[in-house]
Amino acid sequence: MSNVVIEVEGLRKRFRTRRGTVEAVAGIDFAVRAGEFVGYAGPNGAGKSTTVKMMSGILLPTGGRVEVCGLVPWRERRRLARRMGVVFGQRTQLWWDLPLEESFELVGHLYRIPAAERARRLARLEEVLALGPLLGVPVRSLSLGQRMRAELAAAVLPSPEVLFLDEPTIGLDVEAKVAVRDFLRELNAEEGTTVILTTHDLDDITRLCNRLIVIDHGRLVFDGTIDQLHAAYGSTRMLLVDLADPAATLVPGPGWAGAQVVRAEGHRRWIRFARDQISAADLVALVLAEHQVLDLSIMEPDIEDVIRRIYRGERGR
Amino acid sequence: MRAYLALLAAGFQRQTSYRLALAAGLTTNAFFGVVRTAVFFALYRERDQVAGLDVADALTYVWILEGLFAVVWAPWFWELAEAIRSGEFVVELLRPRDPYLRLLAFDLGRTLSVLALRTVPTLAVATLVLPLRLPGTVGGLALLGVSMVLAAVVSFQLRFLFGSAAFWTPDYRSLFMLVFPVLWLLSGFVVPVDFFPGPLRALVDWSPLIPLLMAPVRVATAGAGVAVATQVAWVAVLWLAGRLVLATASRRLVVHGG
Amino acid sequence: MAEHLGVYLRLAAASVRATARRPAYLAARTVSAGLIVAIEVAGVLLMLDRFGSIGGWRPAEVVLLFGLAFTAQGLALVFGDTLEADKVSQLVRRGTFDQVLTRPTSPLGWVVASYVDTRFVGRMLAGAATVVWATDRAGVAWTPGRALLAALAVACAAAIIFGVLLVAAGFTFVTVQASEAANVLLYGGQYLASYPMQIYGSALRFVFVWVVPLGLAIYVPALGVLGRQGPPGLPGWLAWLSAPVAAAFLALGGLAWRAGIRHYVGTGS
Repeated sequence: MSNVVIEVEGLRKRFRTRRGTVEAVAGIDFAVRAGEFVGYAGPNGAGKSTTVKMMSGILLPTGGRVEVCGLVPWRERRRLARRMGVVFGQRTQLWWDLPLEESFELVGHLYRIPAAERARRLARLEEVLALGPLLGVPVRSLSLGQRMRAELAAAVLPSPEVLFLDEPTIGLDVEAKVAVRDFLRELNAEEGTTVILTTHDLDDITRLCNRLIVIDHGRLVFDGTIDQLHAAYGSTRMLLVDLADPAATLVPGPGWAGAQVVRAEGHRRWIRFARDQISAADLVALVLAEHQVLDLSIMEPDIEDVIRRIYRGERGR
Repeated sequence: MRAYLALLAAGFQRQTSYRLALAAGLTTNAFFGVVRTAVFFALYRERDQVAGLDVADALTYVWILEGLFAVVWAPWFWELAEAIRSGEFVVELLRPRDPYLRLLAFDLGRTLSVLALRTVPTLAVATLVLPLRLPGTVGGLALLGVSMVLAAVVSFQLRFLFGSAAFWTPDYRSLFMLVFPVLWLLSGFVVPVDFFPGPLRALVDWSPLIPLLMAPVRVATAGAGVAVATQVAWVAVLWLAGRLVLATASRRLVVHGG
Repeated sequence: MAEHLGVYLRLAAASVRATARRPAYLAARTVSAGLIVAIEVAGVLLMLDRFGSIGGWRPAEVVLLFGLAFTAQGLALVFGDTLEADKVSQLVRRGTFDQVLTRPTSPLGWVVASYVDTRFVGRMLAGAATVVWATDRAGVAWTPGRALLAALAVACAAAIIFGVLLVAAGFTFVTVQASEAANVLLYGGQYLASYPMQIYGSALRFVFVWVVPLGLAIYVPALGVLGRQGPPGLPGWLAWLSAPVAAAFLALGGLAWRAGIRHYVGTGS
């Protein structure tokens, strides 16, 4: 049983500008199933916001097909609006001058949430997002981090099936980012909300998304899991080793399979290796066999490097 | 001196760049002018002269009003008060040379642009179509021009004084909103001051509101040099008031740190 | 449909609550709006007292027209202020209109209900007070029929003004240039319709009776209230036409708005 929530087929969008016709989206296909947490990345001007606008019914496609929750977005905009949530990183959907709780009340009325259910859901959201002390505060007085938590609460209060997020962590401090990510992870896991996260923040992607779609020049450039991304683009991992003897030199031996010492500072050595050529465990064993090691750790693959390569036009294997 | 002329030019250039606003303004002026003209034609159908004004005087009043509207009730009215409130004005006080003259120079540049692009075309077209009473001699027209520039200066000075209220009260907007409609009426922008009942007219004739509109109208219709003299006198008085306010406000800023 | 209305009323109430958080400023704005009406009326009276009459109409009768026009304009702008072309173009330029479209409401309903400008309530009340004063001075004896005509005048004129706003807003989605024309019609039109129509030349009269029928909406019912005969070409029974004409104009406005939205969704600004 395919519970496909978003279906995009041959989607195109052409704009007529002063300089002629621009094809912002030039044929995109993908399908998102219920409960997926999809990261949506791409350089600026790649067509990300254009596709999201077409998925949310704000923009009319020039060609192709798009269906969200079984509805054609631009044709049934209002019905879809009831079943989806949107959060714009920079702009607010809350009522600026009024206390936060009034915004929640209005959202409740807008989406026809029965009062009891709204209260129950709100209590839960307040707890998870620590909104309690903020309820009486006008939205204009909230800090960015507080406001983003409030925006999320307002967006998910109507229990949407699909949630579109546009740069929700932009400008937030570390603590706020963690709070937002934890919340989204929980939301996706417990309620099965399908999330489309448009972001430039690669930490968002690595920590939250189980699937990544990369758009460039209006075309789909990558669609798969993070592991598949690394496999397709051969990204590397880094082994950090603190040697007992700071003067010791690490020389890559025959079993090192291309791994290289890229940096040395005091006790510490940085060793880059390709995950598909040698496993971390094997490499550690090789190092331990020849040197005395005080401490070691493995740095997660640098997705930024991969994404940058994609943006530069590199195509994966 | 050159610095002030530069500011004048800058103001002129800035205002001239607002082409869309200009078109909009001209349309509004034309429309209201046409309606008011129709009203006066109807009013003067049965009478030749009322309160010393005949239909030509009345029409001249209408079109000078439409021409001077954007000069006197400048669209950038609130700017000074807002600059004070936002703290930008402190920067002005720190700049070299006289802040009052600097502001005047820039403002005058803008109003000269409005005079050139709105007032003159409006009057030129109106006088071709309607029996206005504008001066027929070069000297007369020059005097009218001087009178209109003086009106602009008085307008700046009044705006400065009102704007400086922002130094003393944060709620200047409420104050303005309640006071300006009354000033609007008393300056003669709703009906000519000549139609006011005696006592009120006498009061207004002695106020700095006359230089704004009625003085140029009187110069146009009656060649009244007295009107220009009144304008000059008020420029002087308001100048002194402006300097006083500026000195007090600067001291206050220094003491309170903005 | 009733439940939809409830949502819009709540939005409007929220807007009022937001502005009420600064009560002094709100009061000043409202009083100022009323003051402006009073000033205009005072000006007209000062003028007409000198001349005695205009087009055969006594001062109080003209003031009745002013009162009806101001009341109608106030009513239309209480809700329609957000539709002013400048504001709509701002919504579009800042991308805020996208957010409006993600709401489960009609975009028009949202835009209108999201901000209710109580300043215009002041205008309405002052206008209504003017009507009461003027009819008293003119010696009008109120009957249910006359009250109906006055209400008709206000409602139809308000609908037409709202229609003008809708048309301008619709155009703003396509080009930015609509605001001047709209403003001239709104404020100029109200001013024009505040004088008896017979003083105007045939061109102006035609435009403001049959194209932007503010003159029709205000002048003709006022004839009925004052018990006057209209001039040839504007007979009193035309009052019965003002409702359908205003409704047609409003519908036209709605079409223009919808067309504007369609354009916005098609081109994405």
